[in-house]
Amino acid sequence: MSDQQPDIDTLPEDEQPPILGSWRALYVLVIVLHFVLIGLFYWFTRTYA
Amino acid sequence: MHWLDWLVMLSTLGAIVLYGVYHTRNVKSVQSYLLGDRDLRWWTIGLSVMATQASAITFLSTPGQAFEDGMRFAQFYFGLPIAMVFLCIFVLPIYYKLKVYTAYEYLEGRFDLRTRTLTAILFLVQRGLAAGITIYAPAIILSTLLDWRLSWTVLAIGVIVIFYTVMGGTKAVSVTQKQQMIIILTGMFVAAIILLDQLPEGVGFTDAVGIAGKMGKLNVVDFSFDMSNRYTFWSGMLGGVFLFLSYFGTDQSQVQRYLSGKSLTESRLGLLFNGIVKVPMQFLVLFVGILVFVFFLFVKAPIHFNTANLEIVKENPTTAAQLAELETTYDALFDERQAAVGDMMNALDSEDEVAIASTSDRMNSLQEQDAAIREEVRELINVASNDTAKTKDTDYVFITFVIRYLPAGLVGLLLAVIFSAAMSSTSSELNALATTTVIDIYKRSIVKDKDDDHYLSASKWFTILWGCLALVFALYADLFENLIQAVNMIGSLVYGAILGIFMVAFFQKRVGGLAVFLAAIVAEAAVITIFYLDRIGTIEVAYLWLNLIGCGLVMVLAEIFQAMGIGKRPEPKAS
Repeated sequence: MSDQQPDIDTLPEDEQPPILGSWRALYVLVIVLHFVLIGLFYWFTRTYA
Repeated sequence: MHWLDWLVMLSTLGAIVLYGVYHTRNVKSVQSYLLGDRDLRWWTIGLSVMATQASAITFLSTPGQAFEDGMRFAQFYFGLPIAMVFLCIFVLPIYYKLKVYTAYEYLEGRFDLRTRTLTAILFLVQRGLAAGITIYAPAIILSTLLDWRLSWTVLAIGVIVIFYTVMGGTKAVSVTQKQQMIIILTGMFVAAIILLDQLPEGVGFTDAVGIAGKMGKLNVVDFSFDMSNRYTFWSGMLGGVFLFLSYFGTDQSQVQRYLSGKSLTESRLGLLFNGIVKVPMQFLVLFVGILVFVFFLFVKAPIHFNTANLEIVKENPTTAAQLAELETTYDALFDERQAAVGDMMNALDSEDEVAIASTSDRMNSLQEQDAAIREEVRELINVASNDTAKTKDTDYVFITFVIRYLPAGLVGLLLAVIFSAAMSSTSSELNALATTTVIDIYKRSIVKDKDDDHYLSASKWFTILWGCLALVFALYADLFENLIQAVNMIGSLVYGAILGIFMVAFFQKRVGGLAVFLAAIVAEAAVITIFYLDRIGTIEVAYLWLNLIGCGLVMVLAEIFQAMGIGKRPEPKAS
């Protein structure tokens, strides 16, 4: 195993995202938006089937 | 084709290429050429990532898929946003910290040169063959329907792409992709608007959606757990996550897009943008196919969308007579469907549930008769062509609508969409192939100690070489139909194992090179066996699951092999 292997735990955190103040919040937003979209798709499927 | 369509198409494509060449005229170093000076903003990265994934066949085939099978294909992309978040958290920081040119570079530091070279070669073989198909697939459809020569269509796409990719490298790819993606999204949106406008008077958006829904076409989400069902919520969320992790995290054609970001932040935002926009975009493309389906309930569709196949049938007197009989039946069926769809609209307007149910049954019965006639036409094509013609015609559905029913000018815009999609994905592929060849093979193992100018020149020559190989493959692909199918399958067979290697590298820190190497070989053999058993009907496993199985096997087997002592260096003897 090489010395070049990065330790994920010690990787430097990048600057903050432009919105929401933290990357964690932005990731949660993306996932929540995705599940809301799937919910809308499900409603669409049920309503017009 | 109308002169206005030529003008719109050529001026759109020409402007994009000139823009790309002008903006990259100062690329003078290998870093600029392969990483674009690392100065791209998130919106360019996001659009570039989307454009790389969306090939021309995406925009030809996906509406046709919705036309035939409804919208369930949207579920294929359900795992994508989750994969984007995963890559932003765990993978991008590692690539950025190591300042790598390629994903495979990382594997040498983590394991050994053997694993890096093997993975790079797997990528070169798979992506090198795929680049030819990326050009060939739309060229064969456009040349058939527009009566263009296939070789000229292939050369038109290929030569332009090679030109600007060689001139400007990765930055030319990214900046042209941004423009191409804007044209693609605009074109598809305009197509949807025009489709609604082309529906008969009195048929609006709500009617179109109501009819499509009652005919089972709006099946976007299916929660049933069935391993043999290709597109369900579960196959998309589980199998799809692994497919997209592998594609976006380890395929150099994608990795190179976000490695050219100005910072880790810009790259992360670009991937998250893709995660948010991609699924709605696929929904839009599929919905265009649904509108085409509804449109052809009111306007008689061709009995078979590939006109070249119909010509083959008409050349044979026996099959021509049978086709004429089928066309008579088809005409009568169309009249009956028109009457039935009118009844269905009245039932939907009056919200009469009994009438809605009875007209739905009638429409679905007529739809089955329509499918049966189309199947009979396919059998005639097989007879007339001695089983040599490709009878699947769904890829021709959308482009048939575009050519026959869009007004002059918009046909040119939609053709520019198809060409843009072909060029954007091909340019990424050529760029990534050249980068991997130079960085992981040529510079690492063959010619190690030359100056920057030498590797810049080598990068350009390898771009030309891969471009020419793709062109040759595309020009002669119609002679090797089985090879095309094989190439299309290779991706789904190897992605799982490649992802497994990277997952072990990221998360199983005690596993060494030999253990993961052997695990990858055993896992790949298992995936191929499962695929074969599925093909001969012994078991039923939809191909998305192969990504999960391949990846999981590599991770588990690597751990077992390492625990068994495989790959461990012998302990030095005490003196």
